[in-house]
Amino acid sequence: MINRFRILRFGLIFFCLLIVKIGYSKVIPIQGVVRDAVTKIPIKSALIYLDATQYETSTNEKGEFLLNISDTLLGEKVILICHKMKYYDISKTILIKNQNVYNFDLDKESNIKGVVVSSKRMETKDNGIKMEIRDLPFKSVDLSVASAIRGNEGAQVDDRGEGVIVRGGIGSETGFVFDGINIVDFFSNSPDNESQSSRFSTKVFKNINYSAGGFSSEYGQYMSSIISMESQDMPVPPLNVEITLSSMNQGFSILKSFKNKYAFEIGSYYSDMSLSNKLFYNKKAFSKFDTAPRDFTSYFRHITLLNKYTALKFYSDFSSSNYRVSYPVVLEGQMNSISNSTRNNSTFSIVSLKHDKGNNKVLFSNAIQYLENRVSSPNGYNESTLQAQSHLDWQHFANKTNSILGYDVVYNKSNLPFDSTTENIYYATFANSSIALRNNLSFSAGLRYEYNRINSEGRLLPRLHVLYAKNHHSLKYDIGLYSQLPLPYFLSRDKNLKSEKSFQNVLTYEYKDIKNKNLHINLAAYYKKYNDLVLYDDSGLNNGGHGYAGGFDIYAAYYDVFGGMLTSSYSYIDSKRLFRDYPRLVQPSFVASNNVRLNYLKYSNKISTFFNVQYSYASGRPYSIPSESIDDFMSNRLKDYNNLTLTIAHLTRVAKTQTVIALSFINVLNTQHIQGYTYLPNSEAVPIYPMFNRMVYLGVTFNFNHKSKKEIERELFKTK
Amino acid sequence: MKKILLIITLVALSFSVYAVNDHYNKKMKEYASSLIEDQGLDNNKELVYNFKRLVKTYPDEWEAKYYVAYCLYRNSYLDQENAEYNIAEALDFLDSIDGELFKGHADFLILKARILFTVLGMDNSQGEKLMPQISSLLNIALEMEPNNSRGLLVLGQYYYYLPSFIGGDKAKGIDKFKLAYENYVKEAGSELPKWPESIYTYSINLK
Repeated sequence: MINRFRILRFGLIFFCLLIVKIGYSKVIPIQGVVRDAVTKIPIKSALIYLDATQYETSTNEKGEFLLNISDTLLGEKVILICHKMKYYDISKTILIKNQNVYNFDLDKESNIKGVVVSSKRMETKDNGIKMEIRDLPFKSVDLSVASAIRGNEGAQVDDRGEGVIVRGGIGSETGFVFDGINIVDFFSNSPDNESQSSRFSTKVFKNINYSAGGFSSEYGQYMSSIISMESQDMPVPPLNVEITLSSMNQGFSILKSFKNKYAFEIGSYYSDMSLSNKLFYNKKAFSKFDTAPRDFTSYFRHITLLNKYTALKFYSDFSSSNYRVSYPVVLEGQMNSISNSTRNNSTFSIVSLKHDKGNNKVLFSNAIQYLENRVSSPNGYNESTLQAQSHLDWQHFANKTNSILGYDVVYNKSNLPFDSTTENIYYATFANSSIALRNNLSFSAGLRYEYNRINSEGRLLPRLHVLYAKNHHSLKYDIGLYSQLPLPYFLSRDKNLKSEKSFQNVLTYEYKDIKNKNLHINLAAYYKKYNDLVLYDDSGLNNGGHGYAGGFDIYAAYYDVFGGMLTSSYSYIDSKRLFRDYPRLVQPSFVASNNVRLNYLKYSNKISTFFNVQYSYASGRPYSIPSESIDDFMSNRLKDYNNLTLTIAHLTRVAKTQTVIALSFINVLNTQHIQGYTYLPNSEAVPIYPMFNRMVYLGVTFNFNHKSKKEIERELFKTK
Repeated sequence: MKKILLIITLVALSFSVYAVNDHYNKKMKEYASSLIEDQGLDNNKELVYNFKRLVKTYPDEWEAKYYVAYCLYRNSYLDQENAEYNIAEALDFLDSIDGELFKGHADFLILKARILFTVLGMDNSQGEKLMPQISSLLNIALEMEPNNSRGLLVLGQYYYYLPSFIGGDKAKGIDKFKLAYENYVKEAGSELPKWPESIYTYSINLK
């Protein structure tokens, strides 16, 4: 009875307190005015609220606000926030008193947001064109990055074993970069005038960016263009097995990842052109293979995710190739044949640490590369190159700027034929900063300092970029100085040779609206001035060479032509050089004035098949005749280059395995490509034709993926 | 007397809890209707801000979290220049949601599937990685809510846009679009998250 009474009494008191609390609860006002920090004009409809509570109000026409809160908050510390769109929020930690007056002066944020977007766009533009890795299997038979680049913005369409020739720059002036490391030996070994293929599997890369010129200070040692490849982070399938069988190569790769934290991959490829040599040897060819090119490449890579933002990657490969070629020569007044056997071994290893969190991106890479060539012929020789490199770049995005800082250190030792050697350490440090001057306009300035120990030469390379970007249009102007150490062959003869230089001006307009208009147009006009080119004249080796390259590139891609994608490109170049053994300023032998590429790619969903038709044209390059006068030097032109290639790739499932069957007809019309001429003692000109002119490729790739339902769910819901 | 007091106390307490929920519901309704009325980029950005405020005030309510992710995703097609950045932000937000809460609501799974499908449209090379994820998300979501119009719409996209050799089937896709639209009409007036009707009508008219 007493207990019941007590409960009743406490209940009554609690109830009364509750009624008092509800009925007599007081409100405390917070009031003030919100104004524009610069103009001091009151801002209406600004939101004022206490963080993480339901208390909120907004300003009236005079910018005034009154926020009533419960007196239970009296004496409490709370966060008062003022928010208005296109202005920066202001938050104040306040102690609630009986009277609270707080005014806010807001800064506009619209300009600064523009900077963030523009500086990111500037960064994107500085990296050049992003190559679509997914299209490579259907655009190039050899899955080669170089093949996919040929015909894009300033890159010549023909492949004559000279690397990628861009805007009048010889193959060695285009750099291939793997996670910041310059690759010494990007192409597999091939005889003169024959096509080359890339030694790296495209599966290893996440992004491939191609810049035809005007690239940022991050890149050095190449004075023409850069192809920068960024390795993959964490491959997702826990187990992936791929087997390729084809008329040219066979290969396999096994990739295994554990707990989405570690991944390992091994792969091997064996390429043998013997069958193609038997079936498609060009009977008009000047040379012939005694042993067709064979190439074996094996690679291993490992990725560890140290945390959500940091990955440690290791990649290592070994490649060995050989071939034997017979050339007709005149010996003792009679035509004879000599053989030239070439064996090439190379290895490339890289460890890189990539950190990407919030406003900071860091890449730290270290690599070592070694390659050797053994040439057995009447004038046989051995040559080898050892290169070690360390690269660091740190990129920071702030509200107004985007900055990048870093360094490169490269050790290179080249043992050249006939016991000559060069040894060099290259030091470089670089900085680049982008800032938006106003909406849609951004400005980027970069500086690279380089020093080569071999010739004790240091130089500053300034580069500037201005970008105007609005909606789907952008206009960019790049101006800068680029330099490159002469080839080891020249340095071994004269270690005092200075670096060769190019001063580049590039104006690029781009329109890109694929989603609405299915259209991408890129127009570029450029002028490059070359100085200090290596020249050997009567005074010996010197830096007296010079030259220029000017022209324009037009690229257009329309993404909906009969349901497929049509890309077309045209490049015109006017280039002349006085360099090497040239007696006067002329158009170099590697430059074709006009280049055209048309490509149509269509996927038929009904029959799961890709069709690709590609036509390439290059106007005839200059060539020289031994007996011609200096005035006539390089005045003749080779026959124009024409190539029509068809590729059909059918995607299907064979025993639950994703399978790609590819069939390619390379140079369907069997147009004869004359690469140059050689001359008999009676001055008769003999055209040099490639040994493989027209070819057919047939290949099947099986891809086995293994992923359990549990593994997918673990990935999606982050549960154990 | 004791019983009366107890009832009055409970009523008073319920009233105060209701007052809190009322604020949440009122704000949700206000922002959700603003989502339909003004489909401009500025309004969408403001909605991201406001839904984030609601998440902070009511951390246990799932709908506000859903709408933050949805509006972040909507930014990607209202502001195409920064689409990749906006999509990454939406996915980051969905990933920050507690695994159990995320798994417990079909609409989270469906939204993530839709975003991943957009990522796949922008970069086909990620197919190997994303397709099993999208398929798994949709399977689980439609097991929970077989008539969810949004889930059926994304499933339709999955069938319609994928190549046949990896399971695509246009006819099946269009069937799912029709079913999705039927359910969308039935859902009218419900409190469920809504996607614009134009997506459904556009999809059922595909050939």
